[in-house]
Parts: sequence; structure tokens; C-alpha cells
Amino acid sequence: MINKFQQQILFDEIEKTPQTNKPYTQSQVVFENTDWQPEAEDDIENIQLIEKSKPHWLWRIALLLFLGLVAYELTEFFISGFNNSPIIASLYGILLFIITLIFGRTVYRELASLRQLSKRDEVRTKSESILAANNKYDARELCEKISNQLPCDITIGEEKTWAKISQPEYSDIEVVQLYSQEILSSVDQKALDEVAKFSTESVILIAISPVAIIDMMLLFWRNLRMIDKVAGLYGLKLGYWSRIRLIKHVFINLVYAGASEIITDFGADLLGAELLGKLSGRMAQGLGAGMLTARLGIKTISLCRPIPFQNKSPKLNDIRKKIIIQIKNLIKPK
Amino acid sequence: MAIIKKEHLKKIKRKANDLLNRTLDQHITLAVTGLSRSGKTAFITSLVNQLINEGNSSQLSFFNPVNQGRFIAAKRVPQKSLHIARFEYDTSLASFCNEPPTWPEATNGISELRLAIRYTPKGSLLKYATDTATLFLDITDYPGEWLLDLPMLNQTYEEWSESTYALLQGNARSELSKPLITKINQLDPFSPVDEQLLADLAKEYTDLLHQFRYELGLSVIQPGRFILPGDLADAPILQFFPYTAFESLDSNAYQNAQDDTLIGMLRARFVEYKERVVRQFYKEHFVNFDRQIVLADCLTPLNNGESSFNDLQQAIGLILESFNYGQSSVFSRLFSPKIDKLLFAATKADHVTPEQHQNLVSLLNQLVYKTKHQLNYETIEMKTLAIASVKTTRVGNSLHNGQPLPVLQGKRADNEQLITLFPGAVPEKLPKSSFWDEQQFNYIAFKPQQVCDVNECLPHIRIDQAMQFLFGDKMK
Repeated sequence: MINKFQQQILFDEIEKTPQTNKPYTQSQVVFENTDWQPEAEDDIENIQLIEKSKPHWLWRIALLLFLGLVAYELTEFFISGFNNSPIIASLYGILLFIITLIFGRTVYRELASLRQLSKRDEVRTKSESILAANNKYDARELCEKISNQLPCDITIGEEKTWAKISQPEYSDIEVVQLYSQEILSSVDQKALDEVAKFSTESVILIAISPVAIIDMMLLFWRNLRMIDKVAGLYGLKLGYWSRIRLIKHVFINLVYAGASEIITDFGADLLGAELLGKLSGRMAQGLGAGMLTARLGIKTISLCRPIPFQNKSPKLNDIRKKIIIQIKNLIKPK
Repeated sequence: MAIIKKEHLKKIKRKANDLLNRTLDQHITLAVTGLSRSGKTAFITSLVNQLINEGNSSQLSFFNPVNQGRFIAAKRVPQKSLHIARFEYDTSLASFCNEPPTWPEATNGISELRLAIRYTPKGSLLKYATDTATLFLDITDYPGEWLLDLPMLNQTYEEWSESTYALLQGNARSELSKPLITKINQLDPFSPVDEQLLADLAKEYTDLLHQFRYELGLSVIQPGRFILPGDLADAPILQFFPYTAFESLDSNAYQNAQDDTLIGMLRARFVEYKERVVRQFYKEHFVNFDRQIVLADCLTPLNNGESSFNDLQQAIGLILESFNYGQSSVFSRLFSPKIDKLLFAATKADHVTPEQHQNLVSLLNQLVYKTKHQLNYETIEMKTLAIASVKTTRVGNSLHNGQPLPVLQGKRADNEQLITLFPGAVPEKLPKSSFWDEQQFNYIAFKPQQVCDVNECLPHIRIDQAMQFLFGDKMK
């Protein structure tokens, strides 16, 4: 009907046959034209599967043995315990129960937040593929999904705007672009404000703290809080492991940032720091630390954002301006 | 007592500021063209309407100044060139606001309208100088048929007659043009001129062109002024026609023919037309354009069949020659035009379902493909879009044989009935001739549906993207 010009047969699933280098037959085989199937594309999922390789078999046996032994010890302990002193044993039993409960809840939370994080990656790859004009996913559905994940105080206002501006005539690419610049930009603004706030705090705290070790601890604490807050703005609730994964991701991204990016970022920074350094060595030190926080924040934003920035990703410069304004306001005699 | 009063100082400061602002104002000339009935009037009306009524339920998300909140306001101001007709914005808009709403009257000839757009500069150097900047947007509307005349500049009367004769002999045109050709062939080219006869034959030729355009839906109309004369209606300069019997003519005698013979008069008028009309248009108007949008209605030629569509292809090729100027081209040396952005818009995108827009764009892309390459080389930025200046349909879904199918709902232009349909697919590629035998297109024409208030924005599809491409970069 719609596609009457390209006769295309859609299948539900691509059957995957074990790929060997040699076809299993030597003689010619003619297929019906409708039997043609596109070659399976290397999906992201496949790549991830390869990454998650199973641990070595020795480790697995060791783990199995350990678990078996623990279970055996436990039953042994309770059987003998109930025989000797039932009250103490039942107290132990309750303690074990409570610990299991707490542990289970923690594990569940960790797993949930880890899943959330990998789901976010999925959404990102989907929106990337839509922007690259692959008609594999429905853009409207995706945007709705993103809206559901965003914190509710942001979505309530935006939902109305979205309903007003999104028209049925828009193509998938246009829908994603529009969502990115109309809805997510307000979240971006909030996140940037947050990053600027934390960076300013770093600048001030480092500038006034007398000992280096306190500097480091302060910086660590503020940065962790910032990553949490920024992720929260984009609807990610971080647990321990998911936070570590995100931080790992952020640092890897920082390390692999392109040379040009570093030069533009730090060229400007150094200039600012040098100027300030003439005024005060402490302040310059603080500003350097603040810039690091800001860089970390920007990277966190771009990793948490469900739709990647298209062309106007936030620059360090934007945040630096904000920091300087805030500091000026702080120092200004009232 | 101070020598300079504070008030004086303020006044001087304000004056200096005004002067600075005036020197910082930017001008841009946007030319809108397209073959007749491609929707030029509707486009300009919608564009002006969107800008003037911005903020009142407008949908300009893809127009960056609005999107970034830097757009302040726009208003109409008196135009710069007083000798050019004014674009009748109010009457055009009124036709959308009438009960029942109709399409506006088509304009013929050139017209102009000027908008002043206030905005806050952010990206450019301007932001250091002023808080608000003004962009003056001159919108010039001229018939695309006039661009079809460009190749005539390189032709002599003899060459032009021969090429036109070949065109008239072509499949689509031969039947209708037969009587006229017979009449012309019976003329004695060296007899003294009879003005009345010339006028009558020219009238007949003009009628023929009208028939080609409006009955057969053909696009290659030469000379373009004959069907859209503008202010030249009935002037002798438009009273000539191709002489079709050059084969039997002694070329020496033709060369020596005086202007008072029939053939001499035809030749003289042709030369005059070239100089006075074609060249004049390029010299006076075309060279001043900064940005150009070419509107093309691909659906009607598809409805009309193969010959009509091929003719559209040829016409677009001819139109594009006007933009195909490199440093080496004669055209460039003659006029040195300065258009640096060219937008091709397939209009009436609301007449097909949204998932067909992509096909509409790729079809148009193929029509302009060759020139696009050359233009890229000349660093003229070019883009194709599927737009609807005024949206006349609603998009929805329906079931067909148990399968969901996107549908349109709108008011038919011919009998004003509400209709819900899937209008058919748009071919993604230029249809091959075998294709036409099995496939018939029948896109329904629609009328505007909603009555619009004068202060409201007209519903549209992708006008904001067109704006962003055409002058968004000047409002940084």
C-alpha cells in the first residue's frame, strides 16, 4: 500500500544461521526472490554480549564450592545451636534474616539502577540511530519514554508545551530534534546551573582551605554530589555500582577527549587562572579545581542526556562565565 | 554652571546610538519564485503572517531566533523601490479569513514587500555594539516563467525560432499548435509588415501558450512574459512569434531583410524583447537578490501524466540555469548576481500523508540533482524541503483491509466536500516511462479548511525551517 514502489517483505525476526566461511553446498541453488533476507547487522547488543564474557571455569567452581560450604555451615550451625541453646540460636536466626533482607534490598536497588543506566545507553543509541535517518524506531514513542523517565516537576510543564508544538506532520528526525531543543534544553539549563554552583563551591572551598589533604577530600565530596544531582535531573537514580560505572565512563571520556577540545578548554582556563593568579595564588588554585569540577559536570551531562547533543553542546566557557559572575557577587562588598 | 548641560549630553548620546544602530542594521533581499500556481502568493502571505503574529500560537520551533527567545517582533514597513508593485498582503490574508476561506488571487508580475525584524543579537559581533538589531527583509515575488527566458539571451531569432519549432512539434504540443504553424507557414516573410496581422498571430501564439500551461499543465513556456506580461500587456514588444519556415528561407535574404518587412519586424521585436525585457529583469532585479526560494508543485504534473512531468523537469533545468553562474560563465560576467543560498521547496506537502514527505523531497532532489552538484562547486548553499504554506488537511489513522494506514482529511477544492483518504504514494525516484503505463496519480486538491483570524498564525508545515535556512543565519 504505502510501499508499493519498493516491494519489501517485512519479517518479524532475522533468522540467524551459524556462519561458517564455506557454504555447505557446492552446487548452484536458486531461491525464490521473496526468500531474500537482509544480512544481519551487527547490533550494539551483540557487541555488549561479547564484552560481558563469563568468568573463568575455575573461578566458577570455586564460587560454587564456597556457596555450598556456606550453606552447609549455616545449617550445621543452626541445627547444633537449636539443640544447645535455642534462644541464642533464634536470635542469630532473626539477625540473619534481617541482614539478608537489607542485603537483598541493596542488591535489588543496585541492580535496578544499573539497569536504568544501561537502558539510558539504549535510548541514546536509539535516538542516535533516528538522527542518522534510520527508520528503525518510532521517534514519538521514544520521546514519550524519555518524558516518563524525567523527574516529574520538569515534565508537568513541558508535557503541555510538547503537545502544543509537536505536529503529526513531523518526520522522525524532526521529532527528536524538536524534543532535544524544546524539552531537554530546559533540563540542560538546570543541570548547567547545578554544575556552575558546584564549581563555584569548589573554587571557594579550595581557595580558603589551608591543607592540601582537605582540598582533595572536599573536591572528591563535592564532585560526587554533583554527579548525583546532575544524573538525578536527567532521571537517573544512582546506586553505588551504577555511580562507579558512570564515574568510570566520565573519566574515560575525560581522558579520551580530543586534543582540540582540551586545548580550547584549557587554553581559556589557563588564561583565566593566570589573570587571577596575579591577584592571588590561592584563588588561581581554586579556579583550577573549579574548572576540573565544571569539566566533570559537562561530561556527566553529555553522558546522562538521553539524546546526544547535536551541534551546540555546552562549553566550559559558558560555565566559567557563570562561575566568575557568582564569585564576583560573593566578593563584592555589600 | 556647566558648559554642556546634562540633557544635551544625553541627547547627543542618544543620537549617536541611533546612528550606530542604523549603520548596523542589516538588509537582505529574499526572492520568491516558482512557476505559476506553485503557491508563491500563499507562501509569502504565510511567511509574513508567521513573522508578524509571532507569539500568537505560532509554530516556529525550527526558526532559531524564535526558538532561542531572541526574536522580538516584526512589522511591515514601506518598501524601498517605489516603482515596483506592492505585494497585496492584506487582500491575500483576507481570503484565508473569509467565510468560507479560499486560496488568494494569484499575482502576475513582480511585487515587493518589506519587513523589519527586531531581534537580540547573540552570536555575531553585533552583540558588542547593540542590544537589539533590525533585519530588513525585502521579499520580492516574481514569476518563475521569467527565468525561462534566460536561454534566449544567447540565441538569435533564427536559433530561437528553430528550437521553439522543435518544441512545438513535440508529442504534447503538436496537436494544438498545428493550426498556428500552418498559418505562419503561409506568410510571405518579405512582404511589408501588417501590424494587425502580427498582433493577431501573436495573440494566437499567446493563447496557445495559455492552453499549454493551464489545460495541459506544461511548464516550458517561452517567452515567459507572454502569459505573465506584468505591465507590458498589449505592448508591441510582446507581439512576435517564432517563424517556423526557416528551412525554406534564403539566409542571405533574411540577413538583409529590412525592419519594415514581416520577418525583419519579428526579428527586431525579438531583439528588443531580449534587451528590454529579459536583460532588464536580470539587470534591475535579479542581481540584487541575496537569497532565493524556488517553489515547485510536483503533484499536479504527476497528476497530468508523463509529458507534463517531463516538461516540469525541463523547466526546472531552464530555471536553474539562472543560478548556475560560475566565474567563467557569460551570464556571471554580464550581471554578476550574488545569490548565496538557494532553497527548493516542494509545495503542497499537506496534500500527501507525512511519511511521503521524504519521497517528495527525494523526487525534487532528483529533479535538481545535476545543478546541485555544480552549485555546490560554486559554493552556493542549496537545500530541498517539502513544505505547505498553509496547511489544509488533518493527519490521522484509519484501517484498510485490517491494516493501519495514515490518512488525510480535508475539504476538496472542486466540490467543497469533506473527504478522508490516503491520497497515494509519491514516487521516490523519477518515474520511468514504463511506470506511467501502469500507474496513474490522482492527488486531490484541497481548500483551506479553518477560518483564520487576522491576528492568528496560519497553520503550516516547515515554513519555519525554510525561514531558518533563508535568513536565520543573518539573525545570529
